[in-house]
Amino acid sequence: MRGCVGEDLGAYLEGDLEVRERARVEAHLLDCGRCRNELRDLRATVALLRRLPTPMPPRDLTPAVMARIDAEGRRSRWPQALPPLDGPAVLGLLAAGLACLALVGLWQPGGVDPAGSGSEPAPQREATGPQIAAGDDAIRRSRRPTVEAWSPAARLPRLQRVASFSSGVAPLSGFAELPQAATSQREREFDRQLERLMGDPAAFLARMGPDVRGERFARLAQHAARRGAAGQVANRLIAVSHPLADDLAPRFLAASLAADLERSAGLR
Amino acid sequence: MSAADLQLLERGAVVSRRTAEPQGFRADPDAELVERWQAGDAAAFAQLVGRHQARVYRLVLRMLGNAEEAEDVAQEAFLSLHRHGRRFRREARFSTFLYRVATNAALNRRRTLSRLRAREEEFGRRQAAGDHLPATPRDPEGAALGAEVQERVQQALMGLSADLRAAIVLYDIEGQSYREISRILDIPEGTVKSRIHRARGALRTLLMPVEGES
Repeated sequence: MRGCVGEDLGAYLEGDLEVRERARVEAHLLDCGRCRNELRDLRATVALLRRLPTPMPPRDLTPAVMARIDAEGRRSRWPQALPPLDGPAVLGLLAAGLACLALVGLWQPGGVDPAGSGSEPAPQREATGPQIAAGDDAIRRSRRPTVEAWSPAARLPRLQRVASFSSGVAPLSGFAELPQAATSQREREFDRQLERLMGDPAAFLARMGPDVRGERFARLAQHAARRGAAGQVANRLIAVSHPLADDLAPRFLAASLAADLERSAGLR
Repeated sequence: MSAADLQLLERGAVVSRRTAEPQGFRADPDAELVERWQAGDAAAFAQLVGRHQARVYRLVLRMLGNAEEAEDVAQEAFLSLHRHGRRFRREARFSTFLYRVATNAALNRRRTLSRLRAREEEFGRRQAAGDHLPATPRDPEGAALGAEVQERVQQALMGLSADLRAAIVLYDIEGQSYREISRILDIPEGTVKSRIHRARGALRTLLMPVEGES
């Protein structure tokens, strides 16, 4: 019959229709056997779902879960918390990163191991350039001892990689004279990354791959926290269906928490 | 129009069962354990696992359709909770957050298991061939509904896309509200509703015998 209401029956069943819509559906149901059958089937379907038994786990999961947590704790796969940063520390870290960039870009003879990530402290990295494992083609290719190396396109990947070990170096003072413009440029790059991440998290994760486990994404997370968006990003990541989402989400959760703590402690 | 039809109409629409606002964290029955756990008390976390393992297991079982995988993924969900959940910010109920972690764990597992996809395709072929009752082992717990019917419902669930399945399992089986599901899946409530309605429509097609116009 014309004007069948199949599309609306689900909403009708749950009482989700406006009064007028509901009246329209009911008027149609009086005349249309096919839609009545459909409604009946829909009710029966819901009844089947709701009558499904509630199976229990075959055994208590607690011992196995706690054992796996212990094992994981021994491997200390995740840092328990990223250090909360106050204003000077943020500037210091940023300055350290930029300084390292300058050193890497201008006269580091070897490459930098991008997989080194932040978990390995790298004391006095500036002085040990030649001993750092080679292998970062991107950095080697873009290493030019000129101002060209500071073009945005050349700098972004290197900034990110530098950030990946700068947290291990972490000299917190002495770089205050670095140009302000460089900082804002870097922030703009981070903003662009956040936009891409929020726009399509799955595509972002697919593009970045396992790199998201690197420390530079902790920096991105801290940037998001400074923008007041880390919690939002974390929520977006938690909801997305991608294996790497579980790797990246904790970064943003941690940064969000750190920002909250700082706010509540009156540091921001 | 028959008397039965009239009776059907009189019953009318089911009033939405779960429209209440979620409670604040203080009223959350898990609040105390969560606070202790976040303060570093491992025993409190173990208690949370004990308290919630059944619902996590149930959710992932309905999402994955396989008991062994469900047990493993339920464990993974709690591991993931332990890793990420120290930063649970207590804006939503703990159970909502846990559902979210568990749903994610199930979706992640599902994607990595190509054999599951193969199983879904197999089921699709059976549906197309009109075979609604795949031969499967009986589950003694299914006595209430009948093991075959139960298996048939589960197989129909597996025939849905993961998005639709998550919504319908959370709503009709787990009894979560639109609002909570919206938080769990991080989608607007309108999308939750439309997914539930679409899922039910698809399930109806998969489960109910085809009837002609009356």
